[in-house]
Order: sequence, then C-alpha cells, then structure tokens
Amino acid sequence: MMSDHQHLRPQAPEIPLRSEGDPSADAVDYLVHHLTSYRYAKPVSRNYGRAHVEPRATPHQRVLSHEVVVDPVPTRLTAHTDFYGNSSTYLLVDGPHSQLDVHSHARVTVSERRYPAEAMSRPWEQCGPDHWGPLLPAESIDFVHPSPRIPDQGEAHEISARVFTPERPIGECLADLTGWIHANFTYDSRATTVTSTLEEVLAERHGVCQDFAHVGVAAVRAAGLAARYVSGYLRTAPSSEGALVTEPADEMIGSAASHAWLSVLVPGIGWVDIDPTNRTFVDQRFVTTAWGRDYADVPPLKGIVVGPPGATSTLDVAVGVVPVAPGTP
Amino acid sequence: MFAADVSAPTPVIDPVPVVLDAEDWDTLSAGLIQRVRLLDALYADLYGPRTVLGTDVAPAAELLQDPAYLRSAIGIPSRGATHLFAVTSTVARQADGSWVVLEDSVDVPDGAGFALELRRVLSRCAPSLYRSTELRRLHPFFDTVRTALHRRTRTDGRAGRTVVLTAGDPDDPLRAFDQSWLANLLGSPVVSVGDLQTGSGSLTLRLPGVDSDPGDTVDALVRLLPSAQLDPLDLGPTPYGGVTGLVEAARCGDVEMLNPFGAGLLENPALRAALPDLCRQILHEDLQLRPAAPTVGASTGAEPARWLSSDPAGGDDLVERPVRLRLMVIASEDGYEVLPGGVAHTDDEAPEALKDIWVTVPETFALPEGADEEPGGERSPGTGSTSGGATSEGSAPGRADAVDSGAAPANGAGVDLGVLTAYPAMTRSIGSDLFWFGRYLERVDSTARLLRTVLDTSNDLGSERSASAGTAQAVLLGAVTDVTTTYPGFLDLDPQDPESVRSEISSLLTDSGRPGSLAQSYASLAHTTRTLRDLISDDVWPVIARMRGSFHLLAGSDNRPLEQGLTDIVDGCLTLSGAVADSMPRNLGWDLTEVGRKLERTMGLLSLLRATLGHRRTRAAEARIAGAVALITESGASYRRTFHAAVQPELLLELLLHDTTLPRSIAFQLDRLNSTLDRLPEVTPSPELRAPLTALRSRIGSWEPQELLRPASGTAPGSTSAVASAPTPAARGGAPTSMLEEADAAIGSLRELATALENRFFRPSESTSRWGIDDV
Repeated sequence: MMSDHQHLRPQAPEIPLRSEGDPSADAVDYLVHHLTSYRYAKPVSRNYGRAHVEPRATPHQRVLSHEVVVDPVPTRLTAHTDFYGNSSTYLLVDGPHSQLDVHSHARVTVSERRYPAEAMSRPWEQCGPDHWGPLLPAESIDFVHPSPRIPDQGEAHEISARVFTPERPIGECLADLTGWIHANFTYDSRATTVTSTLEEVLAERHGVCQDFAHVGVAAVRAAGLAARYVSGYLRTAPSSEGALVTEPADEMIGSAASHAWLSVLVPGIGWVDIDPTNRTFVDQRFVTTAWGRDYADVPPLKGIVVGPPGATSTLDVAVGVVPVAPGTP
Repeated sequence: MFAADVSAPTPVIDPVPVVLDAEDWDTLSAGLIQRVRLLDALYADLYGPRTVLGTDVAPAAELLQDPAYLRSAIGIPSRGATHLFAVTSTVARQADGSWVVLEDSVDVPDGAGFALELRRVLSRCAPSLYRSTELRRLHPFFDTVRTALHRRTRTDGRAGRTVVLTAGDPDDPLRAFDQSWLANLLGSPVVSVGDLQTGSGSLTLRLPGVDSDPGDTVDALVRLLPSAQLDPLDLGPTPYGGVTGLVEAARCGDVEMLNPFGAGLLENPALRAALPDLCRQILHEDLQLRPAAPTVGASTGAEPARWLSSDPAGGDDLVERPVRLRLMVIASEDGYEVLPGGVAHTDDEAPEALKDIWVTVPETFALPEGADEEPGGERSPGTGSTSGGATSEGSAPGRADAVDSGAAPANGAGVDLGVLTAYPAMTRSIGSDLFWFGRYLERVDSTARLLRTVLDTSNDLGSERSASAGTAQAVLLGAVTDVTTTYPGFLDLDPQDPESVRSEISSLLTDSGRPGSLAQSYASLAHTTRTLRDLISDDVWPVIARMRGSFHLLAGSDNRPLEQGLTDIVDGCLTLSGAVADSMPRNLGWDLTEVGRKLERTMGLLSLLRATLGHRRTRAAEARIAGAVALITESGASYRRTFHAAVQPELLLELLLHDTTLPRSIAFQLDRLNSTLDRLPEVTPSPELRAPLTALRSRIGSWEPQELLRPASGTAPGSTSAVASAPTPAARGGAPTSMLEEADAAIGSLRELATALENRFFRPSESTSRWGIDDV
C-alpha cells in the first residue's frame, strides 16, 4: 500500500489554455531523420522488418513529405494504413548481407496546442464513454479497456484514485498525473527493455519513456477514461541545424531516440497529449508518428533476422528533429 | 479404425443414423448458408471499414477486447467472392422442430474429413442398408469445392497450388486423421510451417536441404492452425514457429489464407447473441437459425428433440437420445454449400456416440447422369472396382479424385483443369516423412521377422532339454531385446519361464506405447504416410490398413498362432516394398526413402549379428544360433548355395558382411547407400555426410570373419565382456569377441550419418532471432 509521505509532492506542469485574443497559433517546420543501423558479425541471409516511423497527420501536424530508405536494397518495401490509422511499413531484405540500415526522412509542420479552459475544467467523471456523444467513434472504446501490454493492475488503480479525486477538473487531473509519474519514477535507460512488464515497472519505479507512458495509460483507464499510447520524436538541439544529431540534447529526455507519451480523450477537445517523462503537456516540440493501445501496437522498428546460428550484431540509432525555416528545402 | 495409433481409443459409433428428409434439410441448410453469409459480411466489415462497430447493434466493446481480433490482419484482400472458406456449425433440434445453433468453428473449421470416414466405415458395415436408401452422397460436394478452389487460386493461366497447413504432429490422432482426409478431398498436400517461406512476391515451399533454392509457389493455404500463431513478425511469438512475413504476404495478395487471419473473432459469444439484429441490419433479412438459449437443457423449457439410437446400455431395442449435429458449410464458386451429411454426437449422460447424418433424396428425385453408381451410400465393397484402391476394403486416406473418376465427365468444369494439374509437392517435412517411411518400413519388417523366428525356434528349443538349446534360447531372446532396444526386456527374465517370456513377447508385439515394440514401429510407419498421398502409390493404403488388422489378431484370441499374425505383417511389408518399388518415381523422394531403408537395415543387421554372434559358445549352441540368424536374415538359401556345410558363424558372417550380390547383406546396403547419397542434392561437398559412410565402408570392408569372431585374449568362456555396451546376463554367457567393439563403432558411424542427413535435409540450418529497439 502506498501512503502520501512516501511520495514526492508532484510538481504539475502548466496547462496550455487558450485565451481570448490569442494570436494565431505558431507553427514550426521540422526535418526528421531516424536512422537505425545493424551490423552483423557474420552475413545473415534474410531480414524482415515492421516499422511505424512515418509521421502521421493530426489536427496539429501536417506531413509535407516522408520516405523510408533501406540499405541493402530491399526485395520488398510496402506500407499500409494500420488498424489505428498509422502508416505501417514492411521491409524484406532477401539475400546475404552484413548490415541493415533503415533510414526514415520526413518534413512536418507542427502547430501549437492550446485548449479551451471550459473543457479542461470539466469534472473528470464527465469524460468517460457515456459523455462522448455521437461525434466520437465507437472505436475509441478500444482505449478504455486493458490491452496486451497494459493489463488491469491494482497499483494503477491506486495511482488513479490519488489523481482522479471526486469532481476534480480533467485538466488538473492530467497535469497532476504527469507530475506525479515524473516525481515518483526514475528515468533509467538500463532499467528496462521492451520485455519489462507494467507490473515490474510499477514495482521497481524505474523505466524509460514507454514505461511511463504505459503507467499513465493504465492510470487513466483505471478511471474509466480513454487513453492511448503515442509514439514519436522530440525536437533535438537547435544548434545542430540541418545535420543528424546523435548526442542527446541537454534539456529533454528521449530527444536522441524515438520517444513515447500518452494521450487522453477529453470531450469538447478531443485527444490531449501529456508527457510524464518530461513533465509537460505535448507542444510544438513533439512530432507524432503513431498511436495504439500500447507499445506493442506501434513499435518504431522491429524485425526478425534469419542467419547463421549464434550470429551477433551491433545496433546504432540516430534521431534528428531539427527546426527549419518554412519554405526552405 | 480411424487413427494410425493401434492403441488409440476408438470412438463409440452408433450405426443408427440421424435421418433428415429433404424438407428438413432444405430448411436447415438454407439457415446455415444464411448464417455463413452473415458471418462473411461481418468478417469483411470487421477486418475492413469497421462501420458496424459504430452502430448500436454490434457489441463493440466485447469485440474490441477479444484477443481473436487480430489488429494486424485488417485490409487483407480476398480472391474469391467471399472471405470465409468454411465454417463448421454445431446445431441441435428442439422438440418443437426448430433448429438452434450451439456453436460455430470459424477459426479452424473441422470435421468434414471425419464425416466422410464415418460414412465409409458404416456403409461397409451395412452395405445393404446404405444401398437400399436413397441418400445424398458426399463426394460430389467436394468436387464442387475443389473446382471452386481451383478457380479461386488460379493465376495467369497457371494452376493454383493449394496446400493444407497443419501442426507437424497434432496431439489428437482423430484430428490428424480428419485433417489428412480433408487435404485428400481437396487434392492438396499437407505441409507444416517449417515447409513455408515468404519471399518477394510469393510464398514458396522449402525443398529438403536446399536453403537458397525456392520450391513451388503456394497460392492458397487451407489453414488448420489457429491464425493468431502463424506469423512471429506481425502476430507475436508462437509455439508453432510460424512463417515470418505471412500476414504481409496475404496482404500483398501473394497467398490467400483460408479461412483468413483473425476469423476466430466471429466465434465471439456477444457477437453470436447479436446476430439476429445484425442480420436485419446487414442482410435485411430475419435470421433463420437462432442461437441456443444461454442455458441449454431441460430446465429452460427448450426441450431437445430425440433421435432413434442404439441403446448405450447394450439393449437390443432402439432408444431415443438428443444429439448435436456438426455440419460444414464451404464456399462454392459464388456462394456457400452445406455438406449433405456429417457427424452427429449424442448429447446426454450416457457415453458419447457418433452417428452418421443421412440426408434422404425425395422419392421423385431423378438421379442425374452417372446414375450407374450405387444410389445412396459411398460405394460399397466389391462394387468400386473401377475406382482403384481408395474404395477397397480398409483404405486409409486415399485419392479422392480417383474415387469420383466415374462421375468426373459429368462435371464439365473439370475439363480445362486437367491440363493445369500441378506436380506433387516436395517439402522438408514430406522429405522427412519419406526418409522415416523407409526406416520404419524396414524396422517393422525386421522386428516382425526377428520375433517370428524367435517364436518358432523357442517352440522347438523349449521342447528340448539340452544345454545348447537353453543357451540358444537365451541368446535369441536377448537378441530381441538388444535389437529392439527394449531394455531390460528379456535380460531381466528367466528364459526358461514360459509365462514371463510370453508376456514380454506380447508386450513387444502389441504395446504401442513402448518404443521399439512392433506396434509402436507400425504406428510410426502409418503416421509417416499421412503427408505422402501424392508421392507413394495408392496401393499402399489398403496394405497399411490390413496390417493394422493384423495387430488386432496379435492382441486377440489364442486361436491363431502368433507366428501367423507376424507372417501377415511380413507379407504386408513385402507388398509395401513392392508397391513402392513399382510405382514411385525415381526422384529425390525415392532417394530419401531408400537412404532411410538402407540405413535402418544396416543398423538392424549389425545389431543382430552383434547380439547373436558376438560371443563364442559351444559348437552345438552356435549351430542353433547361426541357423536362426540365417532364418531371420532370409539368407538360408544363399548359404546353402554358397557353402556345402552346416551353418557356421564364420561362414554366415562372411556371407552377410561381404556378399555384394545378397540384398540382405551389409555390403549390399552400403553400396546402395553410397550410390543413393551421390544422387542427393549438394551431398558431394558435404564432408559431414561423406565422412561417416567412408569410414564405415573401410571399417567393415576390413572385417575378417575369422578375426572378428576370435575370442578376445585373456577372457574365458562365461566371463562378462568389458567392451559390451549392453548388459550380458550369465544365462547367455559365452566368450566376448572383437565383434562387439567393432559392431558398436560401426553402429555409431551409422547413427552419425543418420543425424547428419536429418540436419542437412530436414532441419533448418539457420536460426531466427528477433530484433527491435529496446529503449525509447
């Protein structure tokens, strides 16, 4: 059982509210690069991959261009729109090869997100499926229930009960949840792998951004609201404009790799994205690629390699999300 | 009767059929077809636009939470007019005459093959009954299905290849049987996941041993494995291993899955309950067949109808029992048809019995052309002479198209398909089955010969009281244990105690759960034939079935000497050898069978010679033992032709080791093994295959019978050998010779060769590992 004094007092992020007379929302253009490189000690014979790396169009994001380049030349490279509307890329390299590079390039425009104060002050109890009205698709119900990687957990209910107190405005709940996870979990890139379960993360209080997103989703769903897992990128250091960035930026965690956060359905607004890892509401620094019930629906890149038994490989990942002036090439 | 395993419990079969008249059938089949049309429309929507989830008639929450809803499988096209290929529905009739549906099997619909077998068996038991009743036949149904499947899979004027995908070794022999029958009816080879590989633009079969060389293209997979476990890339890790990239191959239209991925979602209970509303909404019709009330039974007031049945208590009078009917709906060219028959299961407290389902033809119904066939049941024994082996007594999965050859001309659609017939498939698992078919055929043959001779000579020796007879008896019984590796066996028994000898013999004959027993080797032999329909002669099926019958004799009465049953089995092996040699094409499949047979025979011979001649004994005992070995190895006649002397160990050994003209000699096996290995693909540069055989041939070539059988120095007769790997009881005694060590080494090389062959041809040489980004 948890009790108050065991936990840090969370410092909640500020809710980005829309006020009368705001100037039109700022928009930022980004060049996005995501390069994944495997080097194999012995040549492998076939490589299959599934990627969710193409940024998707949202009310706050326009995709100007996108391309995935695979080296060696793939025997098959296809993309389809998946169950959740994301672009899902399949690749097959058939034939001996010693390295695999999957390079995703995109150019996107991301606009500011500000939310109406009256919707954000709606009590959270009025944000569940019964209050969605006819405009929200019934499929949103998919994000209310437990999912393969986010099973129903007792501990998530405790976090939920702490955050979603009676009649509390939804905006406050989301800010508090973001701050609470940030304060009570330690970011540790060695603490977890994709095979860490939610139960382990909740017990260890360690994790990476995908784990924090899972914790947040679990807590929101425990309150009976819809929450989805979002995969994407963060803006990298502006100093390295135009070039691939491989060093982490100082101020934000997850900027040198792909990133993950969560999104909550708020009637009257739509989906509101929060990032517990960086204790912030999602803003123009975030590029969205895909969403689903949890990580398993939208891993950025996964695959299966067929090769000599016991072959080893090394992995390098480089991500760059660099602001560029609108209209420049 | 149904399963290869001679000890598998046989289901209780009630010969009294469930009879449906044409009117009943029309109502029921129309309802089933409507139901499957509805399920098909639901599949198309749930794995397509998903508009139904936004309506208030579909249980959206229950569907979205169902693990059978495979999110990765949306947007996969269908080649035919429908998505669903087959659905098996279980229905029951209420006392008021209405039908209710108890459940639908949509992910893996089954039961059609079993229905045919039940019909065949019962029509054989009561031919006159089946002849005198005008009932709908089952085979024409599959002609229609096959034609539809051919048209659906055909691409660019090329015949489409449909394969049936099953687990390599289904746990349930009845299910395995059902699956192989279905494959047979569809005219499609049975493959397992390891036989398939996705590539660029096609799904191909994997040939034995050749990684780089893709085999035949597969156009449709009739999937008898749960769809959630078929693609480790898109559907997650699976105990079956799966076929990486299969979901994408289906999405790109390389291959069609039948039933499609994720069809199990249609088994969702909440969806079943919503079908009446969905039917109105989607088909604009009223649902004809209602789902059963949530609680089935007498208490709900929905009394089940009762059907005439045999008395489960064994009484002579017929009784009435409630039954569940399993009926299969399959896609035809532009819609669905219901198999006019099936299997009914009794549904009460008494043990379950299976019943045939008869659909009668109205009196006025005129038989169509081809009416010279039996009206009514599948052809009865003695009347199917034009149809080849598959209709004769005891046929296991045979060639269905042969069964219906008489009706084929009436089926106009068949004409252009003839020229598109595909070649038989060859895959790793089929190659492996051929290799093991050869090995088990040889093992059954040699075990039966060994046991027959030992039984014969035991009878003779048992009547004598001499020491040499006692020794020979002990040695031969011990050899049975050694050769079949069924330790401790006779080594722990008193060879003079007839009761314990008899019980051990009986176990070795009929205990199919005991590795090395004749029954187990036979069951394994029958098992290997399940995928070999296209590759070995139709003549083998009745033989295999008759051999199964011999086991019932071996297990049963004392009226018939066991030797007679064993002779039947030896005869069966001879017939199988002949059928295979006379009809199998001389290709890779034949070579793999040959390699299996020669390897097994060499190992069996070496181990027999080691166990019988490896120790020196008195001249009198040796004469008896060598005489028995000559009988077992069928070399008595050659011996008499070659040597004008009584059977002596050294001379017999000379013959069995080195006479290259004698088909049961070791030299003969090794010559054949060598030339067959040369023909296997990519063997020449494979030292792991070449080296064991070269070592073996030079070792055995250097064996001198005189040297080999000289007692090892420093050991006196009666002492126990230090080199023998098998325990040697005092009763067998004798002075050990270098034969023991030499034979062990040779057998070791053969095992090494067998393993190398399997690794090279049937097992994946590459490993598969998952990769992905761990941290984000």
